[in-house]
Amino acid sequence: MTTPSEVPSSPDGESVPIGPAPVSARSPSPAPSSPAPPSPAAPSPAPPSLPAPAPLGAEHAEPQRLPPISLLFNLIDVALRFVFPFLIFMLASGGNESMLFRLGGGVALIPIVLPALAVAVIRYATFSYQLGRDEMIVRHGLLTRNERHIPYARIQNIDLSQNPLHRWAKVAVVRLETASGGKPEAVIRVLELSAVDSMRRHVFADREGRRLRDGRADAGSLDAATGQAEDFAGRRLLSNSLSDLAVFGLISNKGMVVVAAVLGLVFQNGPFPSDRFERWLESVFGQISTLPGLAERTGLDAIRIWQIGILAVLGLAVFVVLTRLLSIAWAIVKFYGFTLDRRGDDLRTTYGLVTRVSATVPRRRIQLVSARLSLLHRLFQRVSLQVETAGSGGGDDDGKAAGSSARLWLAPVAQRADLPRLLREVVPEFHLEAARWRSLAPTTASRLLRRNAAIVTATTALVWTAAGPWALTLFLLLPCLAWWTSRWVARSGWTTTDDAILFRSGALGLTVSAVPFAKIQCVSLRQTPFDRRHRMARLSVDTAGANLRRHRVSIPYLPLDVAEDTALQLEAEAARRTFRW
Amino acid sequence: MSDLSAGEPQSGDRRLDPRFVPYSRLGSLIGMLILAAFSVPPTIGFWVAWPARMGWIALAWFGLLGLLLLRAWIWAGVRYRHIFWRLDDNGLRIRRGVWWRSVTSVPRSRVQHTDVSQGPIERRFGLATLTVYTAGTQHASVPLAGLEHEQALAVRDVLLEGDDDDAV
Repeated sequence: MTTPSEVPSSPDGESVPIGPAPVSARSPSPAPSSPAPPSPAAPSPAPPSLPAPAPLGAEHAEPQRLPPISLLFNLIDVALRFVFPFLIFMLASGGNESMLFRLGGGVALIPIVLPALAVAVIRYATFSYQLGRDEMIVRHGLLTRNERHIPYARIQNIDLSQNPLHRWAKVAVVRLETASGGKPEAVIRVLELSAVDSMRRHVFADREGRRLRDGRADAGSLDAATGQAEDFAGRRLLSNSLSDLAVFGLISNKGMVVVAAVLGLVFQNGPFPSDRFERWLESVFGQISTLPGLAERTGLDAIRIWQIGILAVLGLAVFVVLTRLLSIAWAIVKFYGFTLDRRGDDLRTTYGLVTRVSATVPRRRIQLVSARLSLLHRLFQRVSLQVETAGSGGGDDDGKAAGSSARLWLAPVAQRADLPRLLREVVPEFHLEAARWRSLAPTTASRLLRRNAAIVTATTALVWTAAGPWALTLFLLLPCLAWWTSRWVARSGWTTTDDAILFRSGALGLTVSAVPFAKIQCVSLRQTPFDRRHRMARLSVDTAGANLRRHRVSIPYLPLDVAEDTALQLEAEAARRTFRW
Repeated sequence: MSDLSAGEPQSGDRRLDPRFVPYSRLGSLIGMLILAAFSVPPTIGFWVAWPARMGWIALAWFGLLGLLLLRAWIWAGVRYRHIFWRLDDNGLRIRRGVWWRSVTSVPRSRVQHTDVSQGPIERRFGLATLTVYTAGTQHASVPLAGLEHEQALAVRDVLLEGDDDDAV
């Protein structure tokens, strides 16, 4: 439903705010403020179809200042940070206090606001960036001068984000991500889109050129070189329509996130003092308690119980429907107009209704690919696809909260039938189509069954002491657990292809994670005392920027000899390949 | 064998320096002494104040301290017999563990940097701890304590040679 030209803020179609970098006929000079010197030093090694790479010889490209509008946005940021506390103060002081007192509160903020404004001005006045030959140099600071050199080769991705105001002014916040994890290496707040474009082209074109020049072209960049003509323009791999996103919202069930956010706002600093909320609650429950009959009767008769049951079920149903609806709204606001493009070796995702986000990930930087197929996914014949990079990964809040790298959505939802094609484009070196799944150790099911039986028996014994023979009903759990584990064991599996190791698991749904050998940092085998008794072991591979709380390649219940052989093989394969960030 | 053979060497496996055993005994002895220094005076104080009630508790506590020391004394040797390491063309491989066993392999091309460190007790025994850093997450650093200092330096040098290859 959404095509790039419908991106809300590109009325003229000339400068698409965020999206596939417009490959215009415009010469790729950096910003207009610094005329790019012709590149005499480095003859362009790229095929003629390639737009001439950014000036490789521009070793002494001038430092560039931020546009004046950047100052405006920085001041607005500061203002916003203090306006809300002030408003809350005004509201919270209620009607009791005099106007003078409120204004006094405002005046009290001045010693805090003024330095913040001064910092913003100084930062603007001293901030500059310079697109050198092999590195970007970012300078800022007045008393403590800070000069940061970021080699292009280390830049994992360049992420942009735009709120509506940014879009109106045709600027964006630029984040340069390296593998250091956590915080972005540099945040440029804000830059004109034309300057962003030339920065992007400089960083990425220079990288392509350097790789070709060095004669170190591996499969990925050869592919990129031969496919330049079509690839450089960017190819749409996926775009999610509104109905896709509705399905995604339904599946991912983030409604509670919205509810929690709203509640947090209401209780902590919303215009809704908590005592007023309590009074409101009281009045609501007061009305319920004065419902005919409820207050008089002390004992509950059958009809009463029946009514309460209906009410509870209805309430639950309303709650479920509401959270799902909120989840759909969340998905649409966050991922509106989601597109995935491939341009040469780079994947670019663009999404967002209010704040537009654009993240670029070079394919080589992908450390792990994870496809999720839950029960609901299966119902709708959809699948979700995420990747991990070593950078902090452009805009996935979950990962940022964890302080480590984030998973980046390559496809919130895709048609299930589309998955092989997507994977071929995203990770061609995985050869996933050749995967022949292998199962876990044959005795896994019986081991888990015995373990479950032991746990249920122990729990029953404990409950018996409190509840008597009724505890025996717990044994009804056993068939369910048996069904669950046997299904989990039957559906879970692992395999290695020529270049990657894959692990899948799940009883109702299924999650598949894949790590290329070239990205394996460490191979480990672990055995618990139970594993030793059953001649099993767990095989795990460690990657850069892994999110340890999510599904990853850590394969339990492998037969010991298979685990040991595979570990040796992985070790050798990883040692054979050089790791590139 | 039904386990990761941590109890017996495989071909190419090497043990730690034997001085690792007295080193870890001394380490746990010092730890126990610190614990005792903080807990014994108050225990004796309680004992003197309420001899009837606190006598058994104090005795039990001293017994526990003694048992812990004995266990640390024995465990140092057991642990030593269950740690092996090897360095080959692929990289560094460490197998360890008595009850919970593990094998950790760091491919040579994934070594980001290495540390050889010596604490005061280690220095006394001529031992060192080699720590290998990778770009990974869970195994961002892989420590190997109990190598002879010279050997730790040698392993470090071997791991770092040919390192220029993995630069981007």
